[in-house]
Amino acid sequence: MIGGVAHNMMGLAVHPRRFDFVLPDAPDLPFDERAELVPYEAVRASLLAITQHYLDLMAIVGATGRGRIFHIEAPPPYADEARMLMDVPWNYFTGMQREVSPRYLRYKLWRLHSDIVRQACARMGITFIERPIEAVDVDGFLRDDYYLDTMHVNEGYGALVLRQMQEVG
Amino acid sequence: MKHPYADAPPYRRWSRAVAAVPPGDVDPVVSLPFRISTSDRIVTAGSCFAQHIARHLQQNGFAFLVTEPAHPLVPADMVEAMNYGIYSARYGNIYTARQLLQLLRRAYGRFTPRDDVWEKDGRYFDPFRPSIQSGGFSSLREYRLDREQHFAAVRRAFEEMDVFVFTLGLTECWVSRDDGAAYPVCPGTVAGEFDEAHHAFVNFSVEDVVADMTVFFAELKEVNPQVKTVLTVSPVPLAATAEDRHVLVSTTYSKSVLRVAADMLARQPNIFYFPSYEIVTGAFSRGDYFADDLRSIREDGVEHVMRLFFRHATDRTDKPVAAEAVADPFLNDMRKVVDAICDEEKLDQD
Repeated sequence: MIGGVAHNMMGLAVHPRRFDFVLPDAPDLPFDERAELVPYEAVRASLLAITQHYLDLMAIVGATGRGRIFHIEAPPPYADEARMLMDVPWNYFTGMQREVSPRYLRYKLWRLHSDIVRQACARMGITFIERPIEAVDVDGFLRDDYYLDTMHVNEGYGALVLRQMQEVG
Repeated sequence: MKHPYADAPPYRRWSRAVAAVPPGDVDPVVSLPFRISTSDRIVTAGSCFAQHIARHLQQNGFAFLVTEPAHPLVPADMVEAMNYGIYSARYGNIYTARQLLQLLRRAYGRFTPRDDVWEKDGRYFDPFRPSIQSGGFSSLREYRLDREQHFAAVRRAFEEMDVFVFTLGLTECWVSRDDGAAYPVCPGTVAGEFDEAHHAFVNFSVEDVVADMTVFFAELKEVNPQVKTVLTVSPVPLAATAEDRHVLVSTTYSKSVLRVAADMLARQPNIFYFPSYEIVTGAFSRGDYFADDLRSIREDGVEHVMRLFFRHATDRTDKPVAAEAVADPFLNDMRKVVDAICDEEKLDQD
């Protein structure tokens, strides 16, 4: 797995100019009423720009590898902002608001990120392995059982992914 | 007894004010009764010539009020394409007085055109600013949220501005037969579909323009009693006319109407006329201020206008360097943080 963090760069902590956007393929997802709308195309371009580094790296790996290459989708976001708030190492976030972005902004950014990477994988002939469905709740968020911290999942999630790998391998 | 012309100052005499003056020094402004300071918040709107005015005000350090700025996440190369910062809010070109009046009324919920949205191939266009977002909005919800945000920005601009610079551009206009909603461009040209049953052509008269602007000023005064307005008339000729006559004849009609309307309106308190039309189209420049298409205005023509604008309408003469655009500092900080957290996690692995 290469990358998988670009969506967190844009939306883990609340931006000083609080923003949200509308996903064209899921326009009815909740919108943060306190946020400024940023056009979808702009959010996508911005996210693509910070993902590009990882995509370039993936292309290099793809060009040098001999066997099949798989990309494991980044884990979905965790919904509970209050729990996440306790886990964020705020000492790293100097000068930033100590607030975790609303779950649906993080969810939309994660979906957009997955969409960008999935398309890149298709172009490069890389198999994109989606998140294990058992780890996701009915709304698409990471289940409690698999949460480790604000940006990482636990060993249980890893076990599910290993099982996926065995199945596709 | 001397006749009225005997002691007329030079600026009132063609031979001395125009024929005998080097083209770049012709100055038809004479005087303006007020000056814009660098702290005055300026809002600009109008036809495409107004974009030049906005650009020069920004570059020269004036408080160009932008109430709908691009979010820092919008990539720099998309800011202009999405029409951020071209005007004070993302209303695009406002060619007619009717359009301006309806923008005010739409922003305050006093007018809701029946023509709500144009859809094509899953993309959504605002009939009243069809090119504001290249390719249209990506969903109906995005369009509606954006329009709501835009109207809030328009209200803020109208309420907070100290000076309003408006460039009258056209008299020819397409309106909805259903409710009179004025389109910036003919439906079907940029987006939407033309339908003779629903779309009608109008060519406004002096009385129409004066009436629309007078109502606009009255309604503007309700939310901003102190604002001063500088009116200009765009020197840019019509690209095409919907009248069955030569485009040059239609251009002369349109500009004449707007020029007369501006003169009549400028007799009201706090409304002033600035002669950018005369500066660009005057015979003294022998057409040199027009580009090869005889329509676009060359930069030296714009500079002549703005030089006189700064001299007569503002209180400053120096020209500060325009600020450089910077990437979103939040994103830069977050990149460091996320990378640092991820790297740090590696240290804690068994």
